[in-house]
Amino acid sequence: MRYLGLIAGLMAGGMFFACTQPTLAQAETDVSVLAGTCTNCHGSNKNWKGVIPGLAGRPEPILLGLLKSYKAGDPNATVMSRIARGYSEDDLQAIANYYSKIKK
Amino acid sequence: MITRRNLLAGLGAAALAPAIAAPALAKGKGAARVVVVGGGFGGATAAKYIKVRAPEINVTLIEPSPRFYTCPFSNLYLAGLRDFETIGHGYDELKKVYGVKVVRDFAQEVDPAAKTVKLKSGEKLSYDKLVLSPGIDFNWNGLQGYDEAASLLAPHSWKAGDQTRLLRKQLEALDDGGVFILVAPADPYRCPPGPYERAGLIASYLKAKKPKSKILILDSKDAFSKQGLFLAGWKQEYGDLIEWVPLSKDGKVVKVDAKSLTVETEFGTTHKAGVLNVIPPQKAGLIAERAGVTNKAGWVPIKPETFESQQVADIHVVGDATIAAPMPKSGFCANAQGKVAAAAIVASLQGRTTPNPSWVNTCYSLIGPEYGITVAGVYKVADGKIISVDGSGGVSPAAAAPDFRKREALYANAWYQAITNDTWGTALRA
Repeated sequence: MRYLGLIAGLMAGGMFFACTQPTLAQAETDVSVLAGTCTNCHGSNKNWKGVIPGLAGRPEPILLGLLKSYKAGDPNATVMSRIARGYSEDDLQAIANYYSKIKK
Repeated sequence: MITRRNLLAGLGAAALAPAIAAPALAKGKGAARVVVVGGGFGGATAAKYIKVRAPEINVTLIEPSPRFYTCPFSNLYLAGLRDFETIGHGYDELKKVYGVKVVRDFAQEVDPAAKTVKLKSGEKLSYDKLVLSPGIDFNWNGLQGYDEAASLLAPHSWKAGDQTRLLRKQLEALDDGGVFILVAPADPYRCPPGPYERAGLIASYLKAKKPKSKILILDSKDAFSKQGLFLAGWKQEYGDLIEWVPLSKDGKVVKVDAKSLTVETEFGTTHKAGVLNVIPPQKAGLIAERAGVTNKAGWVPIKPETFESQQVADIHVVGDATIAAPMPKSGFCANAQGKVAAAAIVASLQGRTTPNPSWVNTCYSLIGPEYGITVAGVYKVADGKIISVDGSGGVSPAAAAPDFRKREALYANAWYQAITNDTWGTALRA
């Protein structure tokens, strides 16, 4: 079970977000899809200890702050500034919220 | 051990979402059946994420190999910087943790009308949705003289496995002073920066072990991915060890003689190699053609939102076989496409609206063990086409401190660990 926590949590997070919409059918943007590729580098294990850090359960303001600073062109970033620029502020907010909600 | 109940408990809110039975499933057929062909980055990811989103769906993965060896990071093995087994990944966790049924067999035919897949063993599997992730096959003799027999003398090493080990053996046996020739193909082909990463990493090996040797890249094109960064990095790290000959300087190879390790270019120049690595012209993997989802050029047109074939209903295709430009044919994209297809398939089977797709790509390439560069992109659908989001993506800066290159090399390794874990496993691996 310990392995599945994040993955199930990830998708649950997505659905959780969707459920806050008026109805599921209107939820065209499923955050679990929007945030799905983050795990390609950040790991899909909730206790991921990679050099590229895991995202699960990190506080939303911290995640959002980082994402916004990347989008603004943080000179310390390598690839994240180029990636964060591909998302709107709302997208980044949703992604930060999504990962913060995953219980470690 | 994961039980369905645990999964649903974990899914929380998702478990409360009404699963509206799709018409096809409302006839007492029981749980939906998804068959996935190909256990690489695209197929393994699609299989896993269908089960994650909807554990009640029966997912069967057809893959002939017990272990999948990745092309990403195979260049590190070729350079003697990594053990072969570190680029191999098995299916135990897909089976045991996610409940994917893995069948070690080869998919030979698809009957889209009957919705069945016929395996080499003769077994027929029925599906409600089929996912094909067949990767690439080669256009044997698309380059004169280069067929499967020739690849045993002049390996392509563009599908990882025996071919990769063969090329490594040949490099080990190369005399100091011998020439390594890499024949690079025209677009489109699997892993656009791959040939150039290969040249750089093999250069690191030759510089250390066979300093009199040279690398000659004979290219069928005039431009390649991250070109400026590669050329500058090679010069800095290896001086003139690597020579790149573009199309406009007679770099296009038109004939291969694998027995004598000789190639001939468009304007009749011959080059003799000590080790000859030919990356031939490519097309979608054979099963895509057999299923009727390929176009005349041999690649698969897809509907961007779902990666369903444009030609055959209920067959989704992901990975290198697809036409998904501006997304490159990369393992990262195959994984990202597998996730989008999984979400679309589950939504369809549950009678829900297709969620908006979103993809990212990051291609890490190593010029040397501590010198990494990247190209990235964020993609979405607009007006029915896949587009690169304005202002996103691009390559590493041309002017960067050594520390920046070192960090990108470090992150390349971290990326490989993360994506292989995301695709095939859940356990942390060294």
